[in-house]
Amino acid sequence: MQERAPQPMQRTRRGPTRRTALAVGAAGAASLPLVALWRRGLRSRAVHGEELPELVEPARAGRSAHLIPNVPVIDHRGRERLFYDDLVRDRIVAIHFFTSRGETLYPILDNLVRVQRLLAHRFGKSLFFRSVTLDPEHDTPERLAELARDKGVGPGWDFLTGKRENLAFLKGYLFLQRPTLTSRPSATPEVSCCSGGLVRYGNESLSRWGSFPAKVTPEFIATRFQWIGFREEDCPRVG
Amino acid sequence: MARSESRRSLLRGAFLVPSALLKRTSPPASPEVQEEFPVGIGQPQPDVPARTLFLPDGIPMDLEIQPSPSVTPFVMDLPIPPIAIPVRGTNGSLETGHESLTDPYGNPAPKDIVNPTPVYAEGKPDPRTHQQWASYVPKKYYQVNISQFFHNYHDELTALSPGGLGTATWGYGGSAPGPTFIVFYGEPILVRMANALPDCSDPVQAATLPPFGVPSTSTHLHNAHTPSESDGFPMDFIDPGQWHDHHYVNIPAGSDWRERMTSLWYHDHRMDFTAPNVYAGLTGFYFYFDDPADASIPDNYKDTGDEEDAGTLRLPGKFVRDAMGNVTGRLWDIPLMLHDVLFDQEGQAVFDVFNTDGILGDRFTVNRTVQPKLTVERRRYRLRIQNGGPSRFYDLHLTDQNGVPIPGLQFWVLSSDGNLLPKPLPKDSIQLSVAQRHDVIVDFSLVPAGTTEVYLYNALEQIHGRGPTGRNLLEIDPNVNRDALMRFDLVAASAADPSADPATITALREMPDDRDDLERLRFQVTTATPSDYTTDSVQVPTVGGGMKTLTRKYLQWVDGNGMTQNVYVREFVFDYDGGLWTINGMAADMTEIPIVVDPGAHEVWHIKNSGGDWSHPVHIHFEEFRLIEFNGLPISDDDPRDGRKDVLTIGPGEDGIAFFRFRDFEGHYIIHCHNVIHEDHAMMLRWNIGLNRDVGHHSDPDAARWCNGVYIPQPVPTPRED
Ligand SMILES: [Cu+2]
Repeated sequence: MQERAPQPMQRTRRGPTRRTALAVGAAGAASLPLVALWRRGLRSRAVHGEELPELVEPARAGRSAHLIPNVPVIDHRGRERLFYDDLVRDRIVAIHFFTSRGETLYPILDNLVRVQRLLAHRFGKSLFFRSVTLDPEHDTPERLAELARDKGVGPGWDFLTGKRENLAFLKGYLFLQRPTLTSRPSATPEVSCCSGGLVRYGNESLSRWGSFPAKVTPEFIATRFQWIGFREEDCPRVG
Repeated sequence: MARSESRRSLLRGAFLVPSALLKRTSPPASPEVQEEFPVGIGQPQPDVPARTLFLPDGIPMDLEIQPSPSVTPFVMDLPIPPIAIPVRGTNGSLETGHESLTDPYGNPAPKDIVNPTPVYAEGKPDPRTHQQWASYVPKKYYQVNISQFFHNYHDELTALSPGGLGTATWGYGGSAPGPTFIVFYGEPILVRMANALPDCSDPVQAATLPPFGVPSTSTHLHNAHTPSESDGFPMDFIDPGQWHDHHYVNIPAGSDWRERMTSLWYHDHRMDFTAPNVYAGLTGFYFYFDDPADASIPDNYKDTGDEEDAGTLRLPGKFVRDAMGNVTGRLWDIPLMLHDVLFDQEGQAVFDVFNTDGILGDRFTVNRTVQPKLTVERRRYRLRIQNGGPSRFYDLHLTDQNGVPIPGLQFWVLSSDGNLLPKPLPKDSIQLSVAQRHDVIVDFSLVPAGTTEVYLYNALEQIHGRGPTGRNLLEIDPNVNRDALMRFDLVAASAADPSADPATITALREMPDDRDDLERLRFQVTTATPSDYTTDSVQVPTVGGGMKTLTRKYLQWVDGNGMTQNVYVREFVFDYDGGLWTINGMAADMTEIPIVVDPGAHEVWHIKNSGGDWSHPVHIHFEEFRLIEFNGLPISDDDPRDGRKDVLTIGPGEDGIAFFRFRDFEGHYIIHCHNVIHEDHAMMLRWNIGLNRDVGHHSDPDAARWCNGVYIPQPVPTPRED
């Protein structure tokens, strides 16, 4: 068993943050301006028993607030970020899930790095990648920082870890897929990620969301961000 | 903040309200209290209690957590889509209609670098961008604007919508379904599709968009024998303010009259966004007829569209024309476009952008109207039933109000997908996977006098997007309010029925190949050993200016004319990997050309589903195929698949062998799953006929053409020299 991920560091956003432990059918849920509440509650319950994600009400709900859970995560620089508020809102992003140990079996980061090279001048300005681990005990911020250095990951691309229930909840929310009858439980669940080949991409402020396969030609991936309104002025926040 | 608020009030007043602003009216259901077995395929109506199953993984059935608002079934009249009207030139003639094609957007950036100079300035089509234009000069010109508007799915849903305006919808020509094209073989047409959807780059316009899809389109005429540049390739898309000319040559494949088709449909095929764009409303019909004066097809095989034309097939139907001679409608010939839709509490369509299994709606719509009714006379009708998706499968029956099949009332199946069958097949039920269609004759004169209502009933249970369960709801718990798609209200016939009795039609369409010849081919293919094959190879260009070698294999078959043909044999395995739906382990990459077919080639494609609990309706563009084997057996002559098809549905573990000839045109085409959610999550492969027609198109592997303003290395495409 690896050491636990470090405790969240100081919040980057000022002011108190209200957390809502979202129980199934909890009355408090109604305060979230979200359409698909059921999926949050029930899926998190299904995946994690009684461990519930730490959903936070967004400071400001953009047009995709109902699609992107606002849970605390920790980036590879060790900062605690709120996934929706700090990493997605008002941005054009690509979001995917991975594990550093799984990279040996199902490598995808190298191809995404090629995409970053093609669009380097936009990264961190109008385009952001969010790579979320599903193996937080192993993928500590330190390990992710090392991986980011090794891969040559530049500004605008965050590797994210955090509490297992928060990460798994994010993944369950962004990749609604039923287990298949033919799929066998993985012998090494901590390194396998059944959705690792798929990347969500979207423009939060326009609520345009699509998907691309992580392994296809980098040029083909790079074209996509224009389809959803890839312009500097669409993405005013620099993170 | 002021800006944000003003935008919000703008939305309230004039446009739709984003779902994010909605408030729940009740808390989510709790799994502990849901014990009943599911029967819900349509959504429970007010008189039916909700039933819910939570699957073993705890994931609730998609539809039963936030169901659509209840609406009263069978009160809305079935709308019939308008007929597309061609434009006329200044002298009033149809053949000069190109003079009147308008460019309403001012900036028709040419999407085709074969013609880098915008000679489109006058709005005229450019013959240089179309294959064999001179052979098939259009005789009619159409312009269809693709736009966003409010649509009335049901009065009770519209009443819930902001301002009572209806459901934000995308459609062709201002309607959903779009205008129906009535076309005749031997009469080429040009259809200019113009994208007039709200522009993402304008914040005010963008705020009006429904919360799914992209306002960018590529219109595919499904199953048509269309040159590649007009086919609606996923990457040949147009953005708001642009247009694309589709040259529909309207010839049967190989100019063989036996390959003539009947009912086609057109729909959006935008890369990554086909499912949401189609869901938003982008579908329409395209029907073929035979000209009574056409000498290239025997009279007795002609479907002239007039049931009184002696010596022809006399299928039910008759044209209605205006004073100009334009067709404006059809009698006794009813198109039925099926979509299942989920609505929110304000009557807006809901689409889960993060569901990769498949999207189900809990409201059956026919021609984009929830559970409509249609008054029919007690006579024969031709119904053209199209499953428009996105992910639902149907098993349709004709029942009374108790869900009991009406004795003696059958579907006489005329066609399976686009082509007529060898003869009409009487069936108690018809099955439609996504994108499939059947033309059927239903003889309402056979309904007992005391029965005045006939329901089109879907008996197939489906509880998630991956495919149906196979359970028959008619046998378990019939309920027309829940499961019937529409109701026919019967009235007396106004006149004698001149259409042919389908029971008397013994020859509907000839097949190009005899069963014996195909059976020989099947035997050869299924028993071949590696030494029976010859291999060859072809060089294809790749991104970056490189070349790649593809190896192919073929065996030799003597066709019905005694000609020895090289038949290329390929395998397509439909599978699932890492969250992606895959074909042969590959995910959709339109810069990759993994398959090259020679012009005119004969090919056999063995299509397999390696999955355990999902179904794939596999669609191949451009050429229909003949199914020569399914699950190891030949196709019997009372199977509706014993014709020509463009969709092969493979359930869990199933496989089929399809025989093709690739004739007349070249370029880029695709094979994909027509569960459009699977398609958008990468279950699609590009294939090419030859390699000479791609340079200069979007489909050029030179991806840089697709990404203006974004730096991408620009490889030089290297076409193969023939
Ligand atoms: Cu599929």
